[in-house]
Amino acid sequence: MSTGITSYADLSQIAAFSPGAGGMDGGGAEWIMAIVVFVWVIWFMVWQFKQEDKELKEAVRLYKEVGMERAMATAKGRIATDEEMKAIEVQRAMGSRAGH
Amino acid sequence: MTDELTALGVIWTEQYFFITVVFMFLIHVGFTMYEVGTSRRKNLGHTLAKNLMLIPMITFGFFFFGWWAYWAFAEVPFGPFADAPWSLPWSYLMGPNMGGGGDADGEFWGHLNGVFFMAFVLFAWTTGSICSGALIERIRLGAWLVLITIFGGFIWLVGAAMGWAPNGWMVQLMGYHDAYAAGLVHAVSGGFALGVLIVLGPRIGKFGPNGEVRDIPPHNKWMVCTGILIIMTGFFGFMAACHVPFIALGTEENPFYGAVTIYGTPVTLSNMTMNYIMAMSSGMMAMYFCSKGDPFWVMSGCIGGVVSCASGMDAYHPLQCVGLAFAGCLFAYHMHHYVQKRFKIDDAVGAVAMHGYAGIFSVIAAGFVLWGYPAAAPTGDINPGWFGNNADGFAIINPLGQVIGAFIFFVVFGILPGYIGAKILQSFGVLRVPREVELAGQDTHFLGDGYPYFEITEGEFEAIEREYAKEQ
Repeated sequence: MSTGITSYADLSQIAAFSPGAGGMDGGGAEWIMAIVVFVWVIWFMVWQFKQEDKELKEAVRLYKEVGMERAMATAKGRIATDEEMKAIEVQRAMGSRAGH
Repeated sequence: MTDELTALGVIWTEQYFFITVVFMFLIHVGFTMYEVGTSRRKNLGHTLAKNLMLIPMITFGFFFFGWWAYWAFAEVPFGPFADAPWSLPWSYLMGPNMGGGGDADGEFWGHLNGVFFMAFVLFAWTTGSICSGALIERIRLGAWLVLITIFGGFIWLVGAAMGWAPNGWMVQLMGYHDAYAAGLVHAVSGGFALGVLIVLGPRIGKFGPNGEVRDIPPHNKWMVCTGILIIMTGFFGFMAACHVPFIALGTEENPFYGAVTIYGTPVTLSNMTMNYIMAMSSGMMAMYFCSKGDPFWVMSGCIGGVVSCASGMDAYHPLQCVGLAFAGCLFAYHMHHYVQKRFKIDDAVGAVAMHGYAGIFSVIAAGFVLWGYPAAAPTGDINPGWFGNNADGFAIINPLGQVIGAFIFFVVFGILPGYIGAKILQSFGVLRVPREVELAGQDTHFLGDGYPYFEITEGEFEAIEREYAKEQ
């Protein structure tokens, strides 16, 4: 659908979604676009809360399953492997023998 | 724009603000590095996400509410809401427009609306970044996004309208002066972070059973320090964006052209640049002295030094900046440790200190050092000033106006909304991550190790080293 503008002669009329319809206060498709974007931002917030809540609940369930000690063992953003747990146990044993 | 001087002024202003916006983007790059570097390895992915996502959320909040709020609230409650049609989300001046057709608003705003808008968006991101660091390693991402959209996209701009515009009632009635936003960007953000922190609480283990404060070292000090240097590079853009670069100051008989602050008072980039570097240098030395050379605090002194002078830096001599930056950093550093110990506030990056306390110091100090200077030219709507005017009827900068201004920004627009917002989110149980997740690390269940290859590389090289060790 044509905008109705066929030249750049009237420089003040280039931008509007509906040129000439509403002037400074809008009045054309600008209102609808603003509402669509606003609803999208609000929906995004709600979605973020829901998916984060689900994610955190799953995390707590996982940590209870593997045990908090293992979940925390590497302190690097991942659950420790069997080998790492063994190595940590050895380290701790050595540390305790050394009186640390 | 039919005459050359008007065209030159408008188009030069457009180019000028565009450059400041690009520079200011570095503030956000720096804050991201600073906060990710400060967080522990198990949390750095979430810290990064928190910083990244404030960009779109604040931008949208600002687009819908903030830009309008900045223009509309200047005289409220002592005058009506101002009419600012160019700031409405559906205005055609939000889009490309070159003026013409005898539309005076179009000629000016057609060129400048976008760059002014973007400069303020970048100021708004800065308010978000300031708050962000204080809350790391335990706040939920969703809660953070809600808080920062409302604060960064709207609340601080209501205050900015009142105290950072020539017709703002705080300026015209109280003589409030805050040329580089120590109160209305830094103190307000520090206050907001403090309000949230009171409700959010400290990270697990930060305070011992007898109240002793435990240090939680950053995972990467290099990243922290480099981040602050990048912030300081970006702050050149911030400071420059607080100027209007080209305006006619004189009369028709005695023409004079120059740059002005946002209040319309004369200023030069030259003096601002010198003051900025002197304040930064003094802040670094103060913090080196206080912290006995801890690089984290020395680099924080860059910010603290500049913020401590920012309110009146348009009119200070560089040597005044040296003294004020030093004193402001001492005040902020000791306040940080006092509040931390006394009230168990865990401000992970010292944001409340370097922006909040230093911001308060800056605003109040300007009231004494610049006492009697005109705060802004009268606009004719809501003057004269409550606390004194000069012979020309200009409200003057004064200590009482600045003290009340510091309170308004730090407490009314800072702590209160932060505290109330966090309380509401807490009542829904969505403010803080579960204890298990905090202990395991915010990245453990989802984003994973931020440096997945480091151990393998280090391990391989250590194996090589061990071979050398056997040979000896």
